[in-house]
Amino acid sequence: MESKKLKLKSYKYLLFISLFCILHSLFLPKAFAEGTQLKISPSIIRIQAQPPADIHAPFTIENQSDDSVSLKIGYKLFDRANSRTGTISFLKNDQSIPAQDPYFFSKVQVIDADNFSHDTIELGPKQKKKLLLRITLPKGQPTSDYYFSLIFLENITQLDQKDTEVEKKQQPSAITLQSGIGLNVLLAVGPKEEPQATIDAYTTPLLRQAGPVPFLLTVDNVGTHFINPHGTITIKNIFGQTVGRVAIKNSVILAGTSRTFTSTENLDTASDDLLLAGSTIVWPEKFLLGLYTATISLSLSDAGPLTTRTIHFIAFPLIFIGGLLLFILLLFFIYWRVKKKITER
Amino acid sequence: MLSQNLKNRKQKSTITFLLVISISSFSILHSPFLESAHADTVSNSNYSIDVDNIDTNPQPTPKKTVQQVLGTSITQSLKSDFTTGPNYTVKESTDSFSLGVAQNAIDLGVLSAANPVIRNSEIFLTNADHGGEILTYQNHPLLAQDKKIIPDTSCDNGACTETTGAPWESNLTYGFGYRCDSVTSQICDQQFNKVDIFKQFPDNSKNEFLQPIIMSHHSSGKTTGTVTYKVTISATQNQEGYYNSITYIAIPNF
Repeated sequence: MESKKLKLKSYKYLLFISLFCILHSLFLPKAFAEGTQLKISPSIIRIQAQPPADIHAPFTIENQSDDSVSLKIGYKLFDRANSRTGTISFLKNDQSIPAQDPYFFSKVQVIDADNFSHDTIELGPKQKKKLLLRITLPKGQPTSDYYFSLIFLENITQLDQKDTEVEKKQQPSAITLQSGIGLNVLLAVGPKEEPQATIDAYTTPLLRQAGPVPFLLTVDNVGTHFINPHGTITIKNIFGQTVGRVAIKNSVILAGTSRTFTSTENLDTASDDLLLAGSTIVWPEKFLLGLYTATISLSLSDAGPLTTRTIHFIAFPLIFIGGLLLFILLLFFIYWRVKKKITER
Repeated sequence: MLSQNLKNRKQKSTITFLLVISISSFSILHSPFLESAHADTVSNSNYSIDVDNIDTNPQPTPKKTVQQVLGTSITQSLKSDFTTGPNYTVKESTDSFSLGVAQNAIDLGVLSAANPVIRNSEIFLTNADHGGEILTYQNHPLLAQDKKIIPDTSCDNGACTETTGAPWESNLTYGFGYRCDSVTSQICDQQFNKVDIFKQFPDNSKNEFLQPIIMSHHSSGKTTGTVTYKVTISATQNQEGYYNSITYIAIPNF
């Protein structure tokens, strides 16, 4: 009897321990051994300055890993033409600065709250540091835009290499992985001007059978500074009723470049064909019938000016209408056959 | 009477067992959802106090504007010839952006002829509002102390470069290369959709330009990719330790 009780007790303990292990393993976070995790906030700083100006822009960098990390600070300029889609491509080392001041980076530094300038920073495990990007623009600084990434690159230690021949042959090979993270700085230097941009392309196929409806929108910034337009496409049916609205993502267009816009929503509903065609502003409505009007209202900045343009498209669900007609014909045929049979009797 | 006693004891032990199970399950299930608490440090040049879980400001504080930040002693203490504040405006996005590299080093072991070494490592990106990309380059090819190198692979058909991928299956094709596999969503180059496609790392010592290894075009939380490193050496290659460093730089889109 006692042994049975003991057995039962041990089974209970076993059950409890295994339950604990299973539940514990289920909720364990995935661990990255000895890696580096860096976080930066914000991802973009937009500055408009009229010299003379002593600019201070705050940002935060965080070491999310369990080991200390030493980061060196550097700057890299965008290649404007190749970065116009919003995905950054940097200037090559032999390319000259596409701005008025070739010594611009001598006016840029990263400082802490005590106003000490840094070219490297040390971050302990899980440590977060608030820093300031300081740009000093003297009087007479020429009007120009500067687009660059402020980059924090990990300082790495080189691996030991053995000297003797015997040691060399048994020496394992290895790759050191170095991490870096950047934030984008868009700086417009010079007097504030009204944004100047034109809608280069605003199109959609004229005739379609069904939704979703793709729109292609390309805006050309002809001004001297970057702009940050936003807006909506309003879709109305033949009776003038508003049947849909598509928001246009708030995206920066660099000076002297054009950008094709994407929608903030509905991206997942767009088919791959539409996305590949570059038409990534999508009205997700599936059933369409008749003439539609799509008016774009694009505000080139928070204070305007507003640009509008209207296009039309016709939707005719050929398959649906064809099927419906076929069904009606079939019903008519059955009715006629039945009627004929009744009259024959 | 005896059987009644036994029954009662059995019931009691079952209830105790159930209680233990439910309490432990509750504590296990509860723990992952607890907010992590970080220790705080308060210090100046004269003192330093380390405290656990202190809430120094339980009230919500209004977000400081740039003008307010500039109005503090930090700016006032600056000895500058320039005016501040009215001549500029700073607009920051409200998002953040992060990069994770699972390891700091990849051990390739002792290399031997025609015996490919394949290693994997995960990298991830937590996207900003407009997505982001991870750019990569190597400082130089795999290099030994006596300056001998393992060249970058040219793949089986001799076609792969730092921008173009090509198949690399043969053990008799020597060199060093990589491929990337998307773990969460399509973030690696579409050239890698075919198995055994490899590329070279851009070589900084040859002035080759850094190339995107991971690209995410819209904010979709955390996206992870697995990088596969492959090395094969020929019989004529000196057997010794070869080293280089691969850099991953995460840059947000705008």
